[in-house]
Amino acid sequence: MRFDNSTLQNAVDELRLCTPQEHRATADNYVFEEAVSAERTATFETFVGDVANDQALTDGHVDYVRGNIEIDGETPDTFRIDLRPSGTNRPDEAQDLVRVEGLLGPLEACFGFRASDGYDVLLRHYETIKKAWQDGSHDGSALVDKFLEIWNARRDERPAFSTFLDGLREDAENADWQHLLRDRLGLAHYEPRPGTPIPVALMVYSVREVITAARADAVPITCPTVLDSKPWPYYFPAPEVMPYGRAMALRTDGGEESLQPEILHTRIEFKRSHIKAMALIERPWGPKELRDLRNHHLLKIRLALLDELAATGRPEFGEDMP
Amino acid sequence: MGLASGKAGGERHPWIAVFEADPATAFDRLIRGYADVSPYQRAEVPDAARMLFGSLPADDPVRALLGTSITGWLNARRREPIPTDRRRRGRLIREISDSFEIIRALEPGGAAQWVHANRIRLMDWTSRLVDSSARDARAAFLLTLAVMQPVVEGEDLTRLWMDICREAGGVLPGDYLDVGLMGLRRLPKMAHQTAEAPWLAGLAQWAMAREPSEQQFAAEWLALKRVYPRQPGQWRKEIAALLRTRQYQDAEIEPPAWWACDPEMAVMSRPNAKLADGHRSPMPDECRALIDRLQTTPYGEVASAIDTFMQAHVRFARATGISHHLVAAVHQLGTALAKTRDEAASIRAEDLARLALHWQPFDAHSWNLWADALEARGAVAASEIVRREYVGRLPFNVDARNQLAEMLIALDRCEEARTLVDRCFEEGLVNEVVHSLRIRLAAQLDGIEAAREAAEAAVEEFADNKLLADFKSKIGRGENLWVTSFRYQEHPLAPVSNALAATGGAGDGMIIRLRDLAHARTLGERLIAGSDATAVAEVTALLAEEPDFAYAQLLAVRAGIWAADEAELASVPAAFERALADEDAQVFASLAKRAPKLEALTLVARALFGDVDAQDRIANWLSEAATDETGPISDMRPRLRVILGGATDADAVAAGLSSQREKVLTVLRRVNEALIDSDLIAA
Repeated sequence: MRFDNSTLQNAVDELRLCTPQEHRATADNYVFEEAVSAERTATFETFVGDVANDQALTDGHVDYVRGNIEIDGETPDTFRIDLRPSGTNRPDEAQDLVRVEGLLGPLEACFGFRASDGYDVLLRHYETIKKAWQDGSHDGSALVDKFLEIWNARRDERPAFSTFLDGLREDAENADWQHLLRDRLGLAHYEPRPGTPIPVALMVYSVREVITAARADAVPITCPTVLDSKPWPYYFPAPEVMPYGRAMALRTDGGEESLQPEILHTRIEFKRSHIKAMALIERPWGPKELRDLRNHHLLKIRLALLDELAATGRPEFGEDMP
Repeated sequence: MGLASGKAGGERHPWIAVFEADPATAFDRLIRGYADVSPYQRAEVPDAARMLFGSLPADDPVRALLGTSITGWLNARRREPIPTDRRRRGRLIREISDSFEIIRALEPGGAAQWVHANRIRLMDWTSRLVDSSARDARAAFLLTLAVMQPVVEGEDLTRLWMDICREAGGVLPGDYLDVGLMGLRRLPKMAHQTAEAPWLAGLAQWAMAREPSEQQFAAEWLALKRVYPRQPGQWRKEIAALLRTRQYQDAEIEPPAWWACDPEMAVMSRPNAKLADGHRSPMPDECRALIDRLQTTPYGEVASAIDTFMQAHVRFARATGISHHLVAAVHQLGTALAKTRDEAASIRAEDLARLALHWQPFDAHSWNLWADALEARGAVAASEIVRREYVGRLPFNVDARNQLAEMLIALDRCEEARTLVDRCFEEGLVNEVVHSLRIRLAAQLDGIEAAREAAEAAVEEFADNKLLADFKSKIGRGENLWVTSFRYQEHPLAPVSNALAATGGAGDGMIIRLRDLAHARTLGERLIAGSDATAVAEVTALLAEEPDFAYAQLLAVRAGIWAADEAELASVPAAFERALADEDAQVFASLAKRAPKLEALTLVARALFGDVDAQDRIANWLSEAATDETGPISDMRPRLRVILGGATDADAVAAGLSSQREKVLTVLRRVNEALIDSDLIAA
């Protein structure tokens, strides 16, 4: 994508020249993006206005996301019909979607403990909710329902990244699913510090449930774009000819077959039946250089494009990070 | 932007160095979502903070820096206007909520104490920051206040949490029940009380107030039961002890009541079920015995027995939510303690009065006891401040005004006392004692003829009163009247010329706060009497110093210096004051939605300004008995009955409101102001 506002485009160009890999990656995401409509670009440009430098651009981008995407009681720009979101073809409604959700905040809100109480206390409460979910008893179910009620109440209308269960069923059913999925789906922020594990839940629900729960003025499922979340070096745009996005993995050991279609969908209320597993993320991912991750991902995308008839003759997608 | 990923190993994240260099700016950028905290930019800000700070040692100075940064950031936001634009306000609410969550999660140095110490202001402020359950800064603040209780040595907040439980699903959103119950679950532990006793009471108070379905009650009860592993027999014992207290028996609620949804508890309804006795508060005889001991034994020897006795009362109140036994005991025991005039005993009486006011903020006896106890140990300025607060808090209580007037006479400030007494006559708050004060002050300040006139008017109104008749006879015989009451003749007061400017005896933070309130009230009276440039300048200074102080906002409205575009979002008392000035019925209707407890107050205002429907409803309201209205609202009903001459139909009410317009306006202003910071003691 290119901005019509020259101050924004200049800021992207400036950012691209910066030394840290994160800056370059963030700038590349604007440059490589193909799925943002003209209407959406214009909305973003109007919101951000003129910028003086690259930091003003990324700060303005954060303001846009907090003001127009991560909101409550309204439809985020991501799903607004008038902004012509990309990738709105509806997948089969019976398909299951999968999402990895962090539980630290909801656990603390439900059980009223503090991180400073220590790992043992976190672990105890995590085990309590996990056991309650597993045993399915009357009072266990009541506790899980209460936990979900508190959690749901805290959630706004922001788009949810998710992917199709069938494409990664093997990983999802592995005993170490939390680390495998974290790495495969590029969830770099699930990076535990020493002594601070991250409890997560594997949430599975159907496309139908998403569509049923969507607001009337919203497109329930769209393709992720650079404008749908804050500037994020672990996001990588997908070429427009590919239906949906492609999550960038946090490892470099897979071929193009490991690329995972990724979507954004509107808010759904989590239910007990959506929880398929709970686990602790205790290991850091990597260590891999961001540059290696991005260049490997780009290679996979380019290989995948060779299989896309619609991509025949198109210019080469993206650019390696130097 | 500009930091390389700090993901490796156990070293500090590189952003921590940025934070140490300029904590205020770095925290502002973190909470607003701009900070480069790779790879945590996509995480929720509190989650990112958990990762950045969570693994630092508890005594790491960076944690203390985080505490001051958060409180500084929140203080700065409190001083700014709240945006009217929904999205901008939503973002602000989110960032404030995230700040409270970080305090809750990481307990950074001093922040928990700050939240506890500023809870009244934070409550008032965050009450204006509620848009939806996902954008609710008040819930985030209250949850933090609840969870932090074990680590702050603050006041007992049981009553606040009980109130929240009762009002969840009524005045407050239904999900506030979780907040109220969390507050009760995290109360500091108390000897001889199980951890579950307070929240069982909170659950029962909610059920009694909201009448939930069996399914709704089961959803709350079973979820909690799961995390408190107990034998069913122990639960039955606790529940029976709760439900067999008098409040539930009077309401014909028998065990297992709502707990019948749980088969393990339902067995309590069997005819042969052995049920535990109800919780029992200490008996009046025990109080009497302590009072008897105080008359013959030095306080120091009775002190620990008093502690034990009061702990038993507090335990009962925490386990049931019922406080009137505790308050009654405080009245008796506190009075006896103050009477000893022993300093330590007087201080204990003050503590007891404040304990009672925590549970019942509008209890007249407790206010009086507090003032008496301060007086007994020579803290005269502080006592005067408390008496002034008593008058402000219970605006229709004649005794409060009389006691302040007697004190002012004893302090040789008869002109001030006379202003107070004159105001009683202006507002129609007159009894025998007010007449007695007017006669004595007239004799003192204006001479025998003025006193004779006052005495004749008094005897005409209270023909059977012996004291007033005696005054009249003495004046007839040309005898001098005493002006200082016998109480102060017996225990003269050290002179204080201006308690609001005095600092002696006001080292207590609460007294200082009450002094600020008294100062604000005085300013308010001056503005009603007519705008004067000095008063307006003082209001401007007060507002600059404490922009989120509801009274400062109200005074700014009264002085005509409140910015028009912020009127909608000002605190409720300020918005009410403005609506009174504008005679704006629509604002009153929206205020009733914002603060449903004040519905009667807004209804009277609407009726006063000609709303026929409101006049109809007020006619009905006047003829009803008082319900569970907040103190001053409840007191307003009999007051209006008198002012409106007993009118009970809409036409008579309309006529009465029209002819007594100024008096009704005064009543409305007094009630509105009485509610400012009304939980100062309680919460």
